[in-house]
Amino acid sequence: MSRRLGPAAGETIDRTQSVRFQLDGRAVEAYVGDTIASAIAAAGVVVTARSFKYHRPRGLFCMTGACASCMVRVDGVPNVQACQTLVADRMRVERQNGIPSVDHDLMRAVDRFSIFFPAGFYYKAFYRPRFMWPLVEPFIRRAAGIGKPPSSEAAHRHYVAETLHPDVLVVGGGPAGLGAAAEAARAGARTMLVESEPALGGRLRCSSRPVLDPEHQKSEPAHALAQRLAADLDEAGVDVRTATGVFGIFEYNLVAAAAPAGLLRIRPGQTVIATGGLEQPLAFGNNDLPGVMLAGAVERLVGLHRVLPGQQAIVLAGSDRGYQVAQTLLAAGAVVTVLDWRSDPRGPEVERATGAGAIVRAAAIPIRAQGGRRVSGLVARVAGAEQRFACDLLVVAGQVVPASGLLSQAGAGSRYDSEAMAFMPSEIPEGIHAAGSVLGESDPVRSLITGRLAGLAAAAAAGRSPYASRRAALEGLAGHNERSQVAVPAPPKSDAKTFTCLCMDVTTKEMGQSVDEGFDSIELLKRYTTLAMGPCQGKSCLAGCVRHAAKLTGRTVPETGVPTTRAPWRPVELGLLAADHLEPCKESPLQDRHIDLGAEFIWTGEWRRPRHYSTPAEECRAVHERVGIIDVSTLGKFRVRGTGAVELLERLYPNRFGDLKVGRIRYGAMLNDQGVILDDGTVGRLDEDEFFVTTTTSGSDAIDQWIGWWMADWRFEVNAVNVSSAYAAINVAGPMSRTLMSRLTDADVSATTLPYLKLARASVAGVPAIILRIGFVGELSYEVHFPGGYAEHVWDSMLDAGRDLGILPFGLEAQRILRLEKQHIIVGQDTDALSTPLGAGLEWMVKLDKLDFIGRGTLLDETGRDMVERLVGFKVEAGGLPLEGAALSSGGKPVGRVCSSRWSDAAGAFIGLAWVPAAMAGDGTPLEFRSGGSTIGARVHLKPFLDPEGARLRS
Amino acid sequence: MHGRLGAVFARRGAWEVPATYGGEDHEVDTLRRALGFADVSAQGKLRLSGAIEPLLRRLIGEALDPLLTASFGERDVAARIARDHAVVLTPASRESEVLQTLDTEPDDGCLATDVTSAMSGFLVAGPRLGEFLARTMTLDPVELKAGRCAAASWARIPAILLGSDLEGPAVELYVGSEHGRYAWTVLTDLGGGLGGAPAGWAAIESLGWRRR
Repeated sequence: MSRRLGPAAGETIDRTQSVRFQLDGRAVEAYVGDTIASAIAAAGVVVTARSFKYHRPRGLFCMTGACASCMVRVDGVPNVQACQTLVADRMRVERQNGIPSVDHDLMRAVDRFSIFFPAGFYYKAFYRPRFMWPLVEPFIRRAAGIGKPPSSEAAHRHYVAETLHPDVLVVGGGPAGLGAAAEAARAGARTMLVESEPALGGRLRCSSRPVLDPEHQKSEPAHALAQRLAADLDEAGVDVRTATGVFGIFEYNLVAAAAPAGLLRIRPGQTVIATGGLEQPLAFGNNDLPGVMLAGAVERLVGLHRVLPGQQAIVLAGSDRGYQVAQTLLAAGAVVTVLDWRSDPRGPEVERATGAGAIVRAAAIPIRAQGGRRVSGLVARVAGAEQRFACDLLVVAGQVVPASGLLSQAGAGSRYDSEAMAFMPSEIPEGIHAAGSVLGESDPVRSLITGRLAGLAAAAAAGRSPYASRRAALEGLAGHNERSQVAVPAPPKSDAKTFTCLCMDVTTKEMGQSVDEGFDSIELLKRYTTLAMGPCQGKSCLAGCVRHAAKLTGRTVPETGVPTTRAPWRPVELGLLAADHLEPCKESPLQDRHIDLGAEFIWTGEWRRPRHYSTPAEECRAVHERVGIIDVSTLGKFRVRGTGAVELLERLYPNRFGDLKVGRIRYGAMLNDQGVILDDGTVGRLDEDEFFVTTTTSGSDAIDQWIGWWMADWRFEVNAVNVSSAYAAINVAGPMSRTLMSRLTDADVSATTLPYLKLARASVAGVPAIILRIGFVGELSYEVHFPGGYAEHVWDSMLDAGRDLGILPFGLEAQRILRLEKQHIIVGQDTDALSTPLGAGLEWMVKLDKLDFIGRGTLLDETGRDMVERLVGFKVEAGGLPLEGAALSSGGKPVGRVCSSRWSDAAGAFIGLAWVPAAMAGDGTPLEFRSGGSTIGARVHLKPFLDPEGARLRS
Repeated sequence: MHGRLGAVFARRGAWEVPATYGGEDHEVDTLRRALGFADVSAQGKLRLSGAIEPLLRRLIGEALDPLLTASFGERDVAARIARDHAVVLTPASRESEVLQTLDTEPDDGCLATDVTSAMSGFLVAGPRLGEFLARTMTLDPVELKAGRCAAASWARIPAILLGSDLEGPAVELYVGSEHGRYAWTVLTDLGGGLGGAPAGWAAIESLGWRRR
């Protein structure tokens, strides 16, 4: 049974401050400084979760964030690593994967019937009969997985994204990282250190064993050294981020980290990877029982949180490390037996442990742990004979391998080191440095020194100039890395499940089945069994899996190799990946006025525009009968000026502009190389060498780039400036628009002086403006362009001046109805990636006799050929509104489609535009649309539905 | 938007600008203590494009390298964003006067355009400026020291940024006017989260903003 120990130097809990949190609805007391995991352990709770597949009980295992055994749900957020998260007052903690609860999990029966769940069972089971899969799928989905989706409250958590640019980034706050960061900062580099744990120090901070920093020639407890090194960082001005885990290194040295507030995108000049080592479990039967722990977990619980996780401990050892943790346990009051798989363990640590009371048994190979919800004993083969040992804590002090996942992502290679019996990083790429246990160092002091050297190297590579003498001094202290060899016993034969991958519940037996089925490469084995694909991403299992795969396939470990490491290297919340909540939005300078008028808005591309203010029908009526105004500031607007302006426009458009007189306007459409319509708008000639060009709202940015692209190629003497943002624009439309305009400007706006398709430069409401006599909505209208800073003033002036005329602002919906009544097209809505002006009824604008224009070649080819389809108007005669996108049906087959459709009060019918086969494009041809499951009868209507001769427009 | 925040307006040239949002002293304190942001869209803004080198030399009296800014005249500033692109900032409503002095011709190979209404401008300053920039852009703030400028993506929209000075680091931010309201929302939301608040012209002028 675990219990809280008395105070000791180096503990991180504050015994003067308690916190109270809820564990599965039960109140639990803990201290400030406790992690959720240590608080749970101190409360005597052993089972922290149920496993992924077999729903076996799991307990605290690594305490370093390198396994999934302690994942809990915290305040509605699933899969929080309890060992990495400090407990807080009123926190709601729930253990995961138990149905209905972790303590009474009905799904535990799965463990007994595991014979029915062989490796890759979801590739094999429930395929026949075919109706089976839909029946069982909901159950499998419910039973599988880790945790449940976040609560709605947690799902709406706001994450911040930051981009940071340190000269040197140090990943890892253990001795190597601390040394590297301090050195880099002292050398003048802007240095940042990120550490996934809540505090700095790594393995130093949970030990009170004396260590000697050779630079200071002073022996001090490891935790004191950790504190001193952490204080050095403050002094050196290092930007330290704890509880911040790097989960990926991407192209161009982009480092992504999960911080408490959100996502960090770090673009360092140089990166020092000091991610340390990873303790590996041993393979024996029931090696997953609660109470089976890695040595580091015990050291953390005892050293940092003063929790003794068991009274009667067995330590499985093959090196000094087992004896060190045995001493820690003995000092904490536990009874300790060390089972060493070596035949003749000896040395100072062995002597110290036995001197402190440890019982040591040599040549002891663990076979299987025993117990139900927690370990109660171990059966081992000792000197050839099976023997049972009672225990409530089974400590595994096995191999430590480099935590080199991030180095691999950064592009480093990997080679098998037969001395260390592990894969070691190699060929570390430019801009990346590594130090400490990630390179196989086992001694914390040597890690510190090599870290300092790496920090100096990184600072130098970042353009700082550390003193050469400093480097020489450190190199003198570094000495030689004496790696301790830890030969790991092979998994014994056991009836009990022997897990190679705890996260994904993969056993040695399943690996054997997979190899027998032919999945005998480590990459295939990984994918088939899902080993190393769980939350730990192989941190706690890969070395063992590779070793076992080598044994199963008869290859050597180097021949077996390791699978590719990919991001994320540690679990990361999906919300955090989408942390940037910024959603750009374009709004007109009249937006406040639209809001004040109660407009309902609609997104059109990036723009938020008024859809309507009152009802579209009422707004249409105002335009037809009186006067309406619409904000068209969103249109693209270009000022084209220079001696080459005509030549530029002649090339950009199929229209002719050389003959456009000053003061006149021409409608035009830009085409791409294939003659497809890109955009449309008007071109007004302001002067001999100056034009005012408008484009659609959505096409503005693309046309800006399009013009720039061709100007760079053609090099005419011309400048084209995008003034879209500079000018606001209001379209004044309706039979009374002339009256309104005459009240706002001194310019002559009569039909004689300012007829249709003519422009004028004049003052409107006292503001310099360009007035275009054009009419997208089909009525007499004036499009007024003027500096956007005056937008509200001009808008207000128009509404004031038109009040007695019954003026109404109108929105996009009314505009769409009005233009449809005139069969005016909207590029993108009524055209697609194949629409040419020849099919869209715009052949009149194409001047093939011009020397050249973009798309001319294609249109020249098409001229004379029969058109495949045409864009035509239609009027519904029987049925309702055919939805936009509805199919035109002929002989039961789709042969065309509806592009635009609306009800028109003026036409008294549902009207629209549709692409139809050329043979069906004759005026009056009956059409049959299939829309929403019903058939709608319509007839081709080639002329505008309203004012077909354009008398109103030209009035 | 300023009216809804309780702004009291004052005239600068032909513009009405937010002078304060209720307390100049508080705004100055926020600028010194955390983060303040002011709408300085009323400044005159001219865009120079094309062969701008001779024109800049004539304005400033010496060459101006790309990514640098220089003051000229009484209170005007030129920011050379690229080899063929610069922005000239003038006090409110002085842009026409400056534009006339530029006196470009179509065949100069250089076009000067009044983009005062095309761009919204904001001054952001305070000790938490670095954090604010880190949350809104990928450019290293070191590139925006006083006297430097850059065209970059800010809050996922195109922007021009000028390193400035207001008793400490400051940045002038210019975006297309269609993004003006969005930019102000980002400033108030993200800046507000860092303890920031809107500052009126009275506050930034009292701290010595250069274009009074």
